[in-house]
Amino acid sequence: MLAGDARQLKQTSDVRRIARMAAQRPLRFGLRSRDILFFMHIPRNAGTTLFAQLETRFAENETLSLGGPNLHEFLAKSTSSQFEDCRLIRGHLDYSIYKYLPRKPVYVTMLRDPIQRVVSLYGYVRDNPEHRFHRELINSNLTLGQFIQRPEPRKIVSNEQVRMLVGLRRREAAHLSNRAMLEMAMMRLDEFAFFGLVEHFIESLKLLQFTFDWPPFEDIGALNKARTNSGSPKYEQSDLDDIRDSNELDMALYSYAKQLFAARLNVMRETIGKQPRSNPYTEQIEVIVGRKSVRTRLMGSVAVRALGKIRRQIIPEGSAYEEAYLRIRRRMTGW
Amino acid sequence: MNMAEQSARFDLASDDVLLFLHIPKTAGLSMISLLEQQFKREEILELHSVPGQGRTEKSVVLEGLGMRSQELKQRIRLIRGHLSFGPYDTLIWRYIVQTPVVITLLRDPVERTISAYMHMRRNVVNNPGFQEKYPTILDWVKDPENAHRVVNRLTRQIVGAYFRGRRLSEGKGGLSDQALLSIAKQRLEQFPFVGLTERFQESMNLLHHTFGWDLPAEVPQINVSPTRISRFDFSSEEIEAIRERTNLDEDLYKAAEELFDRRWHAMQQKRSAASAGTD
Repeated sequence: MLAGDARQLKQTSDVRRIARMAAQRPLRFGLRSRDILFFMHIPRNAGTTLFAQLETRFAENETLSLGGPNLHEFLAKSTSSQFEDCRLIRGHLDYSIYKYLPRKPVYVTMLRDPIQRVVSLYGYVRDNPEHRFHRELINSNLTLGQFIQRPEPRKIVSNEQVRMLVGLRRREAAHLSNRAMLEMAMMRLDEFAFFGLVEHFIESLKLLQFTFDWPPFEDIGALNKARTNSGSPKYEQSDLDDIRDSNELDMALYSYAKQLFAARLNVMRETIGKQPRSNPYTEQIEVIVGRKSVRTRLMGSVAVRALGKIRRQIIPEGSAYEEAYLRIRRRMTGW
Repeated sequence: MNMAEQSARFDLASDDVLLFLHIPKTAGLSMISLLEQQFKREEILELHSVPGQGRTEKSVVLEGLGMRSQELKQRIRLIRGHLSFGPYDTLIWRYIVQTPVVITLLRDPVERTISAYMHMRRNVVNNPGFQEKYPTILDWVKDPENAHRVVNRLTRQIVGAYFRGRRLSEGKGGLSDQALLSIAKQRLEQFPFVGLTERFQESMNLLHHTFGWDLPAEVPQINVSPTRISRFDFSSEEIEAIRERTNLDEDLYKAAEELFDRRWHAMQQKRSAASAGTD
């Protein structure tokens, strides 16, 4: 049934419907004064880079990066009021973070092609001694294929993206069918204020900026990348197939995510295309012209020309309106 | 544990927008009469169905208001109506707020369904020919045309109307029951207040405690007189037909009761701590 689901997603009618649906939901997301942005950092999904960008939008004292070995203990003992002044939180934590916060957070995340993600995770474990599976991998000289079969590592390389999005504990999720898990993960993508794709990082940043109406992000490069040494082995196709087989849900989710992401990018482009070039002096023009009972919502250079016409007809030389008009025209056109 | 579990309090910011998901026949109007006392007239937005063909409901009302959406965003503090809330539901997201503070009132699904049937039966003006078409509740419940009113109404309203571009009530290609129920339960936990019709007085008490309001002297009593129609007036076949179609709601309602108990308990603890001066 699952392969059928994934196949079904590829049908054009689904793609059209997803596109139509994406268009119904305005991408702009207004944050209210007490809203908390929670960046669900799924490991190996360019999260460090994305968080570095997110941090630039908030003050240091309202940002919280959660980590460390006793994270769940810390959360269990915490009171939600401890998070009241946070406006940005980040952590390798799943959807259930809402249980610990004073209000439901605004979720954002990054997704990645599941096979790439696991390959990256293997490389990261191999190269980083502080990772808890590092010793096991090095001591037993595990290949990628062997690594993903080990009982503990297996838990984090199999459908991790879906599991984090669903956010239920293992025993709670045990009774859920694969189909239900996948559906819930897809609902989250609809619900999240924003999700990006590692494979389209630049566009993701554009979409993120557009969503929250932020100034554009600067290019800071990629952080915390897995080291690629020239001596690194090529991975066996059978290993990559193994990864795919143990990530059926993540594969189906990613397929949906790609379509929804593309549809949202389109909506963003169309919205930007329709917007008149932003002209902060439009309102001033309206007010001034409005006093003469002539209303205009014209923008930019068109407004200048319209004002010119009005000036000739209505505004007498030397009046306060002429002065204001000249001031505005100077600002808008630079002369 | 989040605030609601610890002390059953939720701090409303001055720019927060309360959204009351009013499920029909849950004594919502009685709750609304209390809710509205906390807000000014111009801060309240009521969304109701606009009768007519095709695209009706709140979308028409909101699009009419859309012209002044900036004003709406700043002015509205309470929204209420027979609606659900999600990224594709109604136009609240588009015009007013993306992060409302959601509250709701739930009722035992069998009682609610009975109440919905009786209401439509009584309402001859809006439902001419209803009694002739559906002489018994069994006829009404079994007609697929009424599925959107009957089948797991509580759960579907909590989850929202759309999934992957399809209306859930259409039944095809929609969410599996498991996902529907699981999402609904998580949503309830995320709502700072979920009341129970069967415990209305206590619910209003908890509601006011949650947002730090003073409970007014006059709390509306809802009619629970012995002459009121209840499940005991119907055959077991009829009740079974309702239960079959509200299986998820039943589960959800149990979860809501447990959630209510936890928060009630938290409220009691907070109150006794306050009075003992140890708060």
